[in-house]
Amino acid sequence: MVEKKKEQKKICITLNVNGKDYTGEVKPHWTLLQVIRDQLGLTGTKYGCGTGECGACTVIMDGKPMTSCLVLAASAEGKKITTIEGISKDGLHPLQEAFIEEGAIQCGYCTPGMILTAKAFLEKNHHPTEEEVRRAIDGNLCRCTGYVKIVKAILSASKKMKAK
Amino acid sequence: MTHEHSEFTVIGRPLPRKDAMEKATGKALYPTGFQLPGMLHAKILRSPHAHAEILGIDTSKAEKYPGVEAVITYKDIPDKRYGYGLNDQPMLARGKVRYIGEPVAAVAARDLDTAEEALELIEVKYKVLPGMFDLEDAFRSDTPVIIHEDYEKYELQFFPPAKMDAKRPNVANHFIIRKGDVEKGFKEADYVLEGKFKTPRQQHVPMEPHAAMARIENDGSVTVWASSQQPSLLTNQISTLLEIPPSKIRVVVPYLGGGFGNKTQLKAEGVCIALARKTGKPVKCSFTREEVNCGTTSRGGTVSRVKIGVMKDGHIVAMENEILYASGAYSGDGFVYSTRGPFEAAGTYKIPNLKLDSYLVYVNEPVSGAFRGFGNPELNWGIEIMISQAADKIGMDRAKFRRMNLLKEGDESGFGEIMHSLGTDVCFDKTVKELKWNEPLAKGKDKWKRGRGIALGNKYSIAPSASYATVKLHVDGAIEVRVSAIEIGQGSNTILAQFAAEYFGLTLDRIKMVVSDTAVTPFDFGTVSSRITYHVGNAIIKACEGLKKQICELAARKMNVKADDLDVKGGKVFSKHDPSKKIDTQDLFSPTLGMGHIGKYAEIGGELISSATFFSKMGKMDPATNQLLNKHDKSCSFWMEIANGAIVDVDIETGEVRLRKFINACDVGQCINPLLVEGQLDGGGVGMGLGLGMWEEMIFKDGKIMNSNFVDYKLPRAADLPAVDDTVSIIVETPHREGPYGAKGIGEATMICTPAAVADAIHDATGVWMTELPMTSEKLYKLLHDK
Repeated sequence: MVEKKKEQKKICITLNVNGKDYTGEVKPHWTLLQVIRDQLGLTGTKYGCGTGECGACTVIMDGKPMTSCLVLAASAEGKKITTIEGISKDGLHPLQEAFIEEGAIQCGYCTPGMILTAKAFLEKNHHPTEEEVRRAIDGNLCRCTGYVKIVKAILSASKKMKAK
Repeated sequence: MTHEHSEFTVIGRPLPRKDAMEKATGKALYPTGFQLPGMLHAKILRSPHAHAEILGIDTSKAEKYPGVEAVITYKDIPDKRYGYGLNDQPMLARGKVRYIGEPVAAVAARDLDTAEEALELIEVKYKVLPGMFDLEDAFRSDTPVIIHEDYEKYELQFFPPAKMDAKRPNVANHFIIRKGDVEKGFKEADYVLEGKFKTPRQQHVPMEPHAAMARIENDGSVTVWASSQQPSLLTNQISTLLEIPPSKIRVVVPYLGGGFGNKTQLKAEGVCIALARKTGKPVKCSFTREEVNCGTTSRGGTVSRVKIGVMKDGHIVAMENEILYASGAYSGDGFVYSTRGPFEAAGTYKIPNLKLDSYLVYVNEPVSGAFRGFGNPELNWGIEIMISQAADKIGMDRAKFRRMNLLKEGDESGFGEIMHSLGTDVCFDKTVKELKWNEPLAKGKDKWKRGRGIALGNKYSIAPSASYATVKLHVDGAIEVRVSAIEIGQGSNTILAQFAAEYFGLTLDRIKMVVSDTAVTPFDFGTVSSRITYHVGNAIIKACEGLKKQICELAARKMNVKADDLDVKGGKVFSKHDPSKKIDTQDLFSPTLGMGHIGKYAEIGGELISSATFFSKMGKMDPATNQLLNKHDKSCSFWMEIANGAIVDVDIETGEVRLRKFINACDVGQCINPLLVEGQLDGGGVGMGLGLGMWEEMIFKDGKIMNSNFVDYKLPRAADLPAVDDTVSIIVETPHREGPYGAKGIGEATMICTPAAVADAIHDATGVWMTELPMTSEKLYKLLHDK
């Protein structure tokens, strides 16, 4: 029998995701992305590169956009985590509406990360210029749209959100 | 900027996508998101050598590793190879490895960590061989390294005209065009100019990496959930490699997170099926980003030469092209794109004497595959620069020179066919207007210089090629459309539903799309070559005609009128002579046992369901010249025409280029949905074309990729691109006489001539010609300072 590599012991953690507490066992090296997708079944958060360079796995953690592939699940204990599934409890978020109306969605794989990055940004900056929007989403890659309609959608959502 | 067609109610309207809601809320399911109970996880052991003989593989330790359920190597699968036209690639390396990243063995284990650990226990003994990495050296007749010594034994599939070059052992295909007499043309020409050009290896970077999951059913058949743009080709490859009859293979494709050509052909599916067969359990394999880069396909690099002969009056008399396409270690899609990339030389300008030689050349790098444009942007790059240089040489305005030589309605293409339904001149004129070409441009003071450029291009859509569609009337009056188009982001589920909605006068929500599950949806050539709108759209309309006939025949019996007096619109069947005589389509169905709640049925003829085929034929060509024997036959399904314009600012001290304005005008025939067409223009032009033009290049050293991440492999990001108002996507509509409601395609056309338009603008600003892509600041700096 070939010896199994020294197995890391699982640890018990509680994560607060979209306002709900989830308690379960994770290996210490599991990322927040892995746990959100594979343990919690919230597959709206996407794997794109695993190195924090594409933004597909973006979630909001304590108000800040974070690439969840670079966060160890165990270190996210005690933080408030929001995924794409958690922003439309009372109907669609203005950003989701704007992405649909402006045609900012194509394959849709970058969309959740893009919307969450934009949400965290618009909560801090209510009157963004186009250049500020472009800088805010510079860490989120999209290969379908050339960002044109995404930028338009974020600007249009910011206007809607101001009006509310 | 589309025309308003009052006769259409659904076609031509900017309707939001059918899938937008589930994608915006994160509910949409992609291959990477699949799970089945008891599923095993697979990992692939890949070659660390670019070229080596396999002396032995010992999997015994990995097999005994706790949690491992199966290990496979070439010994566990039939001795078969696959490809697209040329079957040269084994599913798992056999005898030799030919690139770093080639699959050698695969493991299925209870969890991913165990599978990864087990890979390290597989012992492979290699004898390292010298590698061949330089495209031009590999092309030489005296190449020191032969990559496929058994080339002669490989099976060639359908694709004519296969032409090998016995004198060049690394050449996998040679394609020619011979029209007129170029030598005579060059003698007659007032000037003859020549240039040499290079394009890099570019990765598609679909945001979703490839994933597959396979399950063996109780009857031994296989179900595979796949990241596939081409379930038809995939089914055949699985069938060939694993000796499974096609009727026992079911391919299911959900939404894909982008593809751009990267998801044609077999990727993770084969190992999943082989491991599922060995273990009896479902197996899933998801690629990491690094595996996408080294273990799938990319756009191969090229070296091309363009020679052009012009008269002082501005006419082009002759053009000669030679292009070498780096195939990577296997032919991938290259066997076909080395015959189809050359279409670029044939479909934009009137060139009476044309000679072209295209070669597919093996090198010890990852396999090259289909990539938006299929070999055309690479050839366009050199041609467009030489067109500008020729204009400069005779002292004619570059735009005027292009306009003068454009192929027009009724002119002959480079394949000798009579061209029709072309919107080239409109694309061109709109781009020129948007650039304010005829007004002087302020060139800028001090170190920032401004320049303005234009380029033209074309993209064919492949023939021969077929699509099927099935349409069905439901008891509630909704229409179901079954097709095998893949919703890869382009919006096929929406625009294909628009065809059926338009035909039956229904709203889009009354169309139910059932797509891409080979157990229930019909054959399709594939979601490639910008062909879905045209081919599947035509098939749907034909199927709708059949369904309408069935509806009218059944209604005629119920209404006591003649079937040919009836029409169907908006959920009603009505008399053409007396529209007050009508019934609901729902009333065609009768309740069983008089009670509707058990269900309703059509009394005669079974389900109201109709299927149709649409096939695009390619005309016969003379194999010695590749000229069509009949000028009214077609070399392809349809031609798309494009004009791009660019305005740049260049820092002549540092070589930094800032794109100020970008114009992308494409002729799409009748536009089906402007929101989606604009999405293609934006994404193809600034998203991907500028990437190829300015930044993207996979860098290899001795066959090993040096920039397999998104910091070192530079993709266009939001802050790099011109402002929304300076990104001008222009939809040109020249209805195609054979297109569904006049539509043709768009996807690939959008990036064909983008790099050349930028190069033209950089030259206008600086007087320097860039000839190698990408046009980095570093390269421009060197050119500016060596001048």
